[in-house]
Amino acid sequence: MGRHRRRRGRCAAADPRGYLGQVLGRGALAVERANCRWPRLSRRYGRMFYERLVQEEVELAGVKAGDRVLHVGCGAFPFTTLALAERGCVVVGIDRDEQAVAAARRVVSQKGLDGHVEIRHGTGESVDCADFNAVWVSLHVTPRDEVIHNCLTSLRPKGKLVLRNVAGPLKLLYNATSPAAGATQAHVRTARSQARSNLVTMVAEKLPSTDKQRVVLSGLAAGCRGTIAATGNGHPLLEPLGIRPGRQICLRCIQKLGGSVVADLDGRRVAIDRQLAEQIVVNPVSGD
Amino acid sequence: MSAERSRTKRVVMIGPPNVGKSVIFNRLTRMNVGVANYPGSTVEFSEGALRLADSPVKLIDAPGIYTLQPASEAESVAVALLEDAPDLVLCVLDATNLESSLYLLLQLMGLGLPLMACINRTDLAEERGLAVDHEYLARQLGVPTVATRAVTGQGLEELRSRLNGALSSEFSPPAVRPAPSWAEAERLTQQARRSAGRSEDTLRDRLGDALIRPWPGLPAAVLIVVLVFGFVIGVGMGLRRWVLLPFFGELIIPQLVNLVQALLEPGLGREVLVGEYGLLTKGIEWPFTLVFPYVLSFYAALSVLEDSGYMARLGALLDGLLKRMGLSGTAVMPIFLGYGCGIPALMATRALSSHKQRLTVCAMVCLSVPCISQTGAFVSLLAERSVGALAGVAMVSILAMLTTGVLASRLLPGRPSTTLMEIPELLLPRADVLGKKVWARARHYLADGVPAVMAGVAFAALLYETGAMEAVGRALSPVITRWLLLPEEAAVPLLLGVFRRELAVLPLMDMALSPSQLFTGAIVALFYVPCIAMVALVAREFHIRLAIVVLVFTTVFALFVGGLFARLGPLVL
Repeated sequence: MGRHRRRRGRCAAADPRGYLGQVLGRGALAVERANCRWPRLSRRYGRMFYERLVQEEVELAGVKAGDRVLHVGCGAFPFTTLALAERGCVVVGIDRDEQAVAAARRVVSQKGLDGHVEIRHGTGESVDCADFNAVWVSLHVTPRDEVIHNCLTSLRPKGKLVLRNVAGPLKLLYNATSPAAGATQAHVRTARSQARSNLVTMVAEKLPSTDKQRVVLSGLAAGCRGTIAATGNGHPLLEPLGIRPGRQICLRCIQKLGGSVVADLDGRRVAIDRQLAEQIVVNPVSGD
Repeated sequence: MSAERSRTKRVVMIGPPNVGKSVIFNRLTRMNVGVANYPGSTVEFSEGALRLADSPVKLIDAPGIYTLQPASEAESVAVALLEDAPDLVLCVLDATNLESSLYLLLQLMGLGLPLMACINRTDLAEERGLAVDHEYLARQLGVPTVATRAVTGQGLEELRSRLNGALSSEFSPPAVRPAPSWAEAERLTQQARRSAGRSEDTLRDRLGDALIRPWPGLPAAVLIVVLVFGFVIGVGMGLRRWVLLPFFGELIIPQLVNLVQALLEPGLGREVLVGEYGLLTKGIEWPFTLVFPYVLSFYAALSVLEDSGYMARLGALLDGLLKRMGLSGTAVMPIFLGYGCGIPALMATRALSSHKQRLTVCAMVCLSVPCISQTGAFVSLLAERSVGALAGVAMVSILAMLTTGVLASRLLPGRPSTTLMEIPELLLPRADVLGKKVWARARHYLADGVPAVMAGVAFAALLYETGAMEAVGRALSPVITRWLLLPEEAAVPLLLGVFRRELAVLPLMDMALSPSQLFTGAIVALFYVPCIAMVALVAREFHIRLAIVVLVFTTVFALFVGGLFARLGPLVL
């Protein structure tokens, strides 16, 4: 991990967090190099930071032994890649840094996992995900939006994208990805990690590609109607208030300051939290 | 069997929020429980006696629930009532949102309790060109069903006789049904719906929608809040000057003073009754002429806001702002109620969906939302002497409220809450309902507030006349004279303020204070201990530890901030 950010100099100029990210990226690189050199450190480090996290992610995404998994931004010591392989997945780890790829290949053969893990040189913006059941994207990977877009576009229907996202103070260092990202192409779920309290896991499950025109509710224009396709996981009152797949919804207005979205369901006005509204996917109905 | 017969039978009313259960309850029992046009106005159950032809029955009005899976503490109350094996469940359905009501009915049918249904709000459904075939539903579901219009009382006589019939007949448990599904509720809704004329886009609908859009909703909200504030202060002052002051100040109190002076010899008893803190002078003047006018004007305004359905719209408009305080739009209701009285405000937090939200609103109301009694006292104290100081207190209060909210949302554990609330229809409030509401709240003030104030005044009179007050004043003088820069007598409001919020303000009136001292006194009163009744309620609703924290924190904070303002005030005022 880490190389994506370190090598993209323009991030530092465009984003005030870029510099901190670079420092952090270098730190992570140093840690990974240390791990490559001292195997006992790597065992402890892996157990401390990765094992439970990956277990949670695997459970949330519903990934089974034997699934083909891609890990974008595997780094010189590919902890996540190895942890996935230990759970019986066939894993391909990619990184854009040639040195890291070489180091990671050495680690894999030392561990005797050559048959289960393959390390390739490549980038998240260009990799083809069609062959994989699930794709993991590391926290350090940039440019995040483009990587997410590429992965979701190239995944097959029902394929899953697993994203590590930050919560809490770490938001100062990393850009958090909104749960709305990709909601029109995928059904997005989020869960706070129990193992690492400052991480949130997002799982985006690619939807069948029949409805090309999907938008999230807050993306409708005021006065426009749509048929609800998915509502995300969420609030116990969604169903009783009529926010269920198949129902017609009409967007009335969007409040200021990140406030709620007011919609109309069969004559009933409901104020919906912006975050909830970003997970409600609708097929717009034309002719209004 | 005979023993069982003699027991008073219980009927529980269950239905979605804001469907009119409390209105039906009031009509059937001739009681006057609080009703309002927003979801979650009922947070506790109320019991009332219902006279039926055959036997008296206990009718129980439960908080509204959307489904049997409770989403707030208020909703858990309703579910708990069902677990208590009532003799009959009366499910109140919403004709305008039939399908979610039907889902609840289907869930209730699975409980195996005797069940009856009534379909309310048929008038609003008709306006939308919809009618519900209640007989069809009754046949399909095997549940006796009546159509009602609670606000006018239509259909309630039939409901009464059907209730009687359902209670006196033997109950046979319904056949086992499949688990309720939304698909079934939707199917039943389609089949039971009849067209009733043309749907009209009424002026009400258009106005209601305009008020939720940021434009013109936000400027309208500012205008409405300013109007409400002006109405409360203006009408309150008018009531005071032209009605209550002449009546009590010029008619009643002088007569009482004359009477006491004629009957009693000078001495402790006479001084307690008509002296400096006379029970019959200050004890009547303060609650009736200084506070009561604002209680009346405030509750008149609040009742209009509640019944029109505007409160929920304000909640939706301010949702983004509330979000920064970790609150959802629904939190507007308890905060607004808090400007009337903290007790209903704390109760109303039961309708909020998370414990964190309840705590945040509780902190805001306890620390920085003055109740109307205290606001009335502020107006009486400051309006004539220094309008700037009054505006200053208002600004400090609002700033403190926002800060409390932001800090509470950061410091308290738990997730920020997500808004998901139904916005009620905009309705024209009915004059008779408004009258009843204002009367109920005024009566509450007269029955609970006034005696507490009078007791506080009597306590002060005793302390004053026996010389104990001076001793207390001297003991507290490092705080009061040196830190707060107030005269020693200012120990009185600090002592009395624990009982009632307005008592932390009113004794300052006769102390000949400078504008800056008035401001200091007002700031201390604003942040000082919310009345003892509220502290007790915090202990009951949350935890005794929290009540102690509230007590200690508000005292220390009020004195600390008061001292700061005492030094800042002279620079500004």
